Amino acid sequence: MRAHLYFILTSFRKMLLEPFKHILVVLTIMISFFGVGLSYLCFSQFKDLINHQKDAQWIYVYLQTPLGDSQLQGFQAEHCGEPWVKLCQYVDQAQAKEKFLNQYPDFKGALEILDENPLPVSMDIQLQALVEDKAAFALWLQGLQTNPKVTRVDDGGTRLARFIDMMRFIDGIVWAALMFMGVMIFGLVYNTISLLMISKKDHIAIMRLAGATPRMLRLPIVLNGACYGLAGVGVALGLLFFLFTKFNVYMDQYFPDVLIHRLRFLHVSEQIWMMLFGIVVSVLGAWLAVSRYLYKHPIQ
Amino acid sequence: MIECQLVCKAFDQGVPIFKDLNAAIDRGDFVFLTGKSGSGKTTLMRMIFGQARPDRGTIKVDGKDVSKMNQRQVAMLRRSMGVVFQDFKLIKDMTVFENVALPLRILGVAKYMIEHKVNLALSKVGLEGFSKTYPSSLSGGEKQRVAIARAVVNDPKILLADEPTGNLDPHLSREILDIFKSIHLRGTTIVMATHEHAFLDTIQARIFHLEDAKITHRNPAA
Repeated sequence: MRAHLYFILTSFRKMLLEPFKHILVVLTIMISFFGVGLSYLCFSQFKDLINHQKDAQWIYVYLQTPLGDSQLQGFQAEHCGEPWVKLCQYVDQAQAKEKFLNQYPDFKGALEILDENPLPVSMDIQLQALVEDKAAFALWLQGLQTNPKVTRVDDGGTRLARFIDMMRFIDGIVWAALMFMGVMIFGLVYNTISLLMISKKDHIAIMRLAGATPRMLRLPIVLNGACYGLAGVGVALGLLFFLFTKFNVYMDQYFPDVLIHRLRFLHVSEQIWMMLFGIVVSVLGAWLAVSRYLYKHPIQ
Repeated sequence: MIECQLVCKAFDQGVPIFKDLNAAIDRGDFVFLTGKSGSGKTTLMRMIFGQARPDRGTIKVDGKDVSKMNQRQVAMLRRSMGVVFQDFKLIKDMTVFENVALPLRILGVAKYMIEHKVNLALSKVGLEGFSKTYPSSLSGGEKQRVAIARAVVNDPKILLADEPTGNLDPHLSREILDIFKSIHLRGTTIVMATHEHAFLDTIQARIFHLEDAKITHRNPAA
């Protein structure tokens, strides 16, 4: 145990004494994870935006005449029981006028000079966040459009479907990018450690002659790999946070009305996952490089 | 202590190095391995400390078959041995102290004990005051002394030396041999491969002469 600890500490001390030997690999991991973090950040902003749109997704069903209680119940029973319906809200003419005036207060005078309230009654339907069964959803929408009591359906269905498709597509791209970066970092750490082993082959051979076990040789290098991963991801996240904060300040200052929702940085759990991912990939790369070296040079 | 039974080993081209070689070295022996270049002196040494394996036969050290050991077991075996090479095999970016301390670090010996044992080993080979020197600043003879100090620092039961004086002039060679003699006097088993016939008469040692893939000549020294 004391021997393992000594060689681990010595390897870290050498890392600190000769930082330039190791800085390149940390820098490359940092750049790779900066790319991963940035794309994930953009993706999560976009996802938030789409979720925001989805939450605000309503279907307005305009009716020919106001509905009586029994008609309303019948209509609701027919169209509001589907799993994708979050809320089914009947809006009579008075409520429609109030809603209209809330949205467009300048029209108050124009509406008041009219004898009748020109705004139609409607059934405002809010959708659930995600519509899974698109075929059933399309049928349901068709049923609404062909209902004789309905004059017009203002649906955001197509837009919603596009949002969902786009989210899935981006989801796939982000995962593919993440995997690609993972393989790249793995290869990078593997290659660096392999070169390190070759450059230290005499040192390793002498240690083995003196009785160092494979684990004694492997452990410090694998931990160095973990250190590369941790440092690379840590610096990448720090840089990302710095740029994100700057970007937010800039947006608040110059485009306060552009963003419909607040931008958010990666959640703590997402940061931890990214750290773990970086460490695991680096450790695997280092472990494989050392094991392969020891396997290829079994008894030196 | 070391026992070779029916050991066969051939070069990659199939040319035999050893054919049914038998040898036994007892505890406390001083053995010279002699023979022409290519007769298998180094190969036999390498097989004893687990760096090479015989094609057939067994090599036992302290009753354990080296040829059947895995990497970890070989590492453990080497902790009870010291090895000295013709080319010293010192780590260039470590001081003399760190080079000598290496086997003790591997054994996990406490710091104060390392200091004590390394200084003792360096004094045995006459290198007091060289602790902080790097190998690049040492002469050939001094480097070989450092290598010997490293080999004996953990008081091994067996000391293997593969042509330890091969790179040294006769005067330094004699000094190195004297160090080996003093180590032997403390009860360490020593196996030394050498070309230096002048050594053979200076010490009461057994001589294993390797010729035609066998140990053809064994005689106790006068």
